Amino acid sequence: MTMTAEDVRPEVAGDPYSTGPDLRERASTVRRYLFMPVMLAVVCVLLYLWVSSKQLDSIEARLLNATVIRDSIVRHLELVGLSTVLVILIAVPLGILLTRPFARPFVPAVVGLGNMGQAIPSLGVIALLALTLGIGFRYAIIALVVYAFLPVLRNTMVGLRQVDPAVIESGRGMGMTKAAVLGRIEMPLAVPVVLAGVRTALVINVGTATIAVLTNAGGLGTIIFSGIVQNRQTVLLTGSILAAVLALAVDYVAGVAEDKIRPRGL
Amino acid sequence: MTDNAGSTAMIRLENLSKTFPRQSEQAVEDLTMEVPEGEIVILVGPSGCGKTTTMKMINRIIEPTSGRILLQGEDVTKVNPDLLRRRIGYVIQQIGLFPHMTIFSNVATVPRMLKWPDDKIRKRVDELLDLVGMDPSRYRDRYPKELSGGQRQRVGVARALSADPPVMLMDEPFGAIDPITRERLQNEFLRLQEEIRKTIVFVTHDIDEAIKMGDRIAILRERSVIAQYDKPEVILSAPADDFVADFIGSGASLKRLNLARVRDYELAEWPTVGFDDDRTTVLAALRGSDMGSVLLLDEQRRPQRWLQASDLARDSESLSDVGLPADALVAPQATLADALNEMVRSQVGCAVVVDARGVYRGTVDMSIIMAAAETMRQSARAESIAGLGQPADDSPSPVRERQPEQAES
Repeated sequence: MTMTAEDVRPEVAGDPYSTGPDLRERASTVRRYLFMPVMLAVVCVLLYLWVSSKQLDSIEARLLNATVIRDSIVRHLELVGLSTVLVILIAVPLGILLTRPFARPFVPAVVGLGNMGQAIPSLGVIALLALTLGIGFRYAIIALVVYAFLPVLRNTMVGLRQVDPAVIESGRGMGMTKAAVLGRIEMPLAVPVVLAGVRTALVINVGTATIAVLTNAGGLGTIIFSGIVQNRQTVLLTGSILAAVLALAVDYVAGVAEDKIRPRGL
Repeated sequence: MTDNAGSTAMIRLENLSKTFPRQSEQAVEDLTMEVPEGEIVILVGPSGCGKTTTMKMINRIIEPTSGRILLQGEDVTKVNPDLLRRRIGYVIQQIGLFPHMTIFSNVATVPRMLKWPDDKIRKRVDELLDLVGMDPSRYRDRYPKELSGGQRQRVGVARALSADPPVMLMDEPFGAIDPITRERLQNEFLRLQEEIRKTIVFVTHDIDEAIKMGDRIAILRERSVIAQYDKPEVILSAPADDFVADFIGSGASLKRLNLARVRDYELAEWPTVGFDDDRTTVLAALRGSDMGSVLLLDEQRRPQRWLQASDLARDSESLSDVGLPADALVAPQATLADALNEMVRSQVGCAVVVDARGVYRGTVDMSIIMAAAETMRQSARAESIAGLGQPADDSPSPVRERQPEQAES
């Protein structure tokens, strides 16, 4: 950061006393926020028109109807939501612990484990779990947690480490307890990086959850794999496009949430 | 606390030592010193001498390996460090404002920890922002990134003062600020200190800053061993040893000029004329003095031009268009060093003193500077001789002559 001479810094946007540029900025923000939902809606409408223009045989009709599609999407979101919540609950506290000075010796081991989780192909994780533990929703969740663990852990640690030591020192120097410094300074300042990790985890999970069908956990994978197995291109394409739309939609929502949760002033 | 400011030790460090883990040599070795109440004590020394470590042991950001710290007579070496720190203001070079909090929240941090009622906090924050020269209504709700470096530094000072701690620790507070702003902030801070009279421990590596800011200066050598601990005048006139002399560097007499303010000296007079004076009067004024020029003042007696006899040759031009512009203006609060600097720049060899409204008050010329330098050298020498034989830490000396009431006597 460069130090400038007194008062040469111009009024910044966001100044409550200047409304002009603020309004313009708000308009561009709205445009930015609207682009993705509109595009995804257009894709969905086109997909619907394309599918309805086709003569569906009985197999296709059994898979491509509102109930199946809705149930698959709901199941898919359950897989993604639950696994991501679990990842946050485990990885964020672990990341906090690992950035405390006393934990320094354990960092390489834990990060190595996380790396392993991500390095093994997701299909492999599911196969491994199916062979050792069993199949079903529960094991799909475990596989997703293992797979999405590293980005959140790593970003939590990076986010906490990049907090300016001078800010922490001034907090401690004013008599804030270690817990207060963590809760009121370090965590808020790490939030943008942590959220970016969570967003990555979410998107990874939307993709990975499509193979959860192999362990009998349902989701959009059901439609895709039925399309492959029964050689129905329409079904396969519909499932894939829906999965892609879902991934983009989740990413979009996470992005908006990121903008809203990120502390002001950064 | 007593009303006899400067006579009580606010901070006492006893045999303080620090050895960092995995280091054989001590960072601070058996340091004993006292900081009198209401004074600015500067810790200055070459880099790596342990001055910052010493300062940080006072609020136990760095825990001493051995020794005792007494604050207002109370041994605080073992008390809860978080509670201790809430009684001590802390300003660091990088300032360390919380970027995600507004200026208000930054300044309100300690009062909130101390559970002050909301309206008291609000009043206090506004009062402090006012005190450091920042309009509360304009800056209260801003974020640190929206401020310039100098403004952030002021907020840092306001934040350190928030719970009205008796003691402040400042670690190179003006170190990362451009020279022009730094000088302004230093002057503002000295003015502020005249109001708040805090006990301040101030770390710097810049001897000029130390001389300007300090009521006392502790010059530290390796391992924070005190080479000399005294008032700046004394250190300048009677350096304890070669180390101190080397550290002060050359030009001690010039540096001493930083200790004196223009307002404390009787100013010289320069012949002046007004706009409505005719050329005969001006010529008479020129002949009446041996200065070679007269100072033209406007209706409000503000300096405008320097006029010489040759400038009066052409009758057609108005007086305000001839001669040289009157520059080299200084305020009464300026130091003699500032005045000397202006004098050297000036066309006629003197600095013109003007008050806050720009009205002419007199001039500072070389003879005033010479006389002041001589007086300061003698009085400092006398003082250092009088101070010999007494341990430095139990001879509370009167507050420095920076204060106007003393200087006028």
